[in-house]
Amino acid sequence: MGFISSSSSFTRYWVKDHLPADYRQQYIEEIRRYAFREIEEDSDIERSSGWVNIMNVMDNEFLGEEFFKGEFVALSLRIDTRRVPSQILKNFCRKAEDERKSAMARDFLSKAERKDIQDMVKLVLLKRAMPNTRTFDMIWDIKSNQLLFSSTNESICLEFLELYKKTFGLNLEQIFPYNMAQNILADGQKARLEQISPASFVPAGAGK
Amino acid sequence: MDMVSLVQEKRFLGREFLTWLWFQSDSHMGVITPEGSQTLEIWIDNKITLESDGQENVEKVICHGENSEMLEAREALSQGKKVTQASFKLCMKDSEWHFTLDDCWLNFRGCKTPKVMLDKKEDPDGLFFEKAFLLQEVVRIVEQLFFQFVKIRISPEWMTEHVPAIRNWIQTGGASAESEEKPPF
Repeated sequence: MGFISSSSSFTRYWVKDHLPADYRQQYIEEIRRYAFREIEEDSDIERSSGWVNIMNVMDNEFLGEEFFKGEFVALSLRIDTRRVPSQILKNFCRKAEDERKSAMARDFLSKAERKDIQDMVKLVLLKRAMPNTRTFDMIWDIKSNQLLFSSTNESICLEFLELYKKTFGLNLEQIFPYNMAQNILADGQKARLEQISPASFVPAGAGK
Repeated sequence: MDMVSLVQEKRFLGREFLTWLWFQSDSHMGVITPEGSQTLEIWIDNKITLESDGQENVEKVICHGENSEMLEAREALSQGKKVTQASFKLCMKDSEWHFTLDDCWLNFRGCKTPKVMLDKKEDPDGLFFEKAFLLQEVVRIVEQLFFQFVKIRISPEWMTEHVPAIRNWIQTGGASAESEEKPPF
C-alpha cells in the first residue's frame, strides 16, 4: 500500500551522499532511463520493474517532471509479475504430453521431451497471463535528506535500494534505533551509549 | 561489525524504548510533552507483541484487547519477555494517527494518518503535500520521543530511578507507578 492510501507501512532511510549541483537535470534523465516498462503482450518476460508517477501508476513517461514536488522527490517503484499457477501448468502439460504420445504412437516420453513440452506450454500460458501490479512509494525530502519508502519487506527494500543507487548514484542508510541515537548524541554521550547493555525489567522475586 | 549484526546487537534499544513508551503513556494518562514539542496523547492501541530472548525456541505472546492495562502483556514482561511490536494511537490537537512500531528498525506498519479531504483528481499535489506532511509529522514526533528516551537511557538515573519505576509498574499496575514516577518531560 502506498503513501496516498489510507494505511501504509514504511522504512526510513538517510541519504548518505551529497546531491550533484545539476541534480535536477541529471535526475530527469536518469528517472526516465529507469522508468517502468510495460511487459509486451506477446513477450515471455515474467517480471518488469521501474519508476512510475507516485500519483498515477500508469504514467511512466514523466513528461511534466512531476517527480519534483517542492522540496521532495516523489516516485513509485512499480513491479509487474506474470505467473502461471503450477496446477494449471501441470494440467496443460499432461494434456500436451498425451497428445504427443498419441501422435507418436508411444506409451512414454523421455525426460528431455517432457521438459521441452513444459517449456513450450509455460511460454504459451505466460503470454496469456495478466500481470500482477504492485507499487511502493518513495518520498525523499531533499532538505533533510531523509527518505520514506512504503514497504518493510526485505526483498522489496533491497530491490528499491538497487534501483535508487542506479538512478541517483547515491547511497542510503536504513535508520534503526542505534544509528538514530548516535546521530543526535554529542561525542561524550556516544561513549556512554556504547557502554550500555540490556536492562532487565523483571521485578525482584518474579520468576523468569 | 556488519550492519545486520549491529542491528541485532543493539536491538534492545528498540525493545526498551517501546516498553518505556508504554510505561510513560500508562503512568501519565497518555499525556506526554516531548522536549521542543507540543503536548500530545499517546496510547497503546490494543495490540502488543512480546517475545522471549534468544535465537532458538523463541516464545511469542500477542496481546489484543480494549483494556489498555494489557495485564497479560504485563505478566509476560514480568516473566522476562521483551516488547517486539506495539501499536499506538497518537493524538495531537485535532489529529489522530494509528501505527505499529517494531523493535528492530522502528519501522512504521499500518500507519493511518488523519483523513485528508482533498481529492486525488481535483488536487493531486495538494493531496500529496498534505499526506507527506502528516507522515513526516508522525515520524518527527516518534523521533522526539525516542531522543527523549535515549537521553534518559544513557543517564545514571536510568538504573536508579527509571528501571525501578518500570519494575514497580509491571508488578503493581499503572496507578501506583503514577504516584511514584516523576514526570520525565
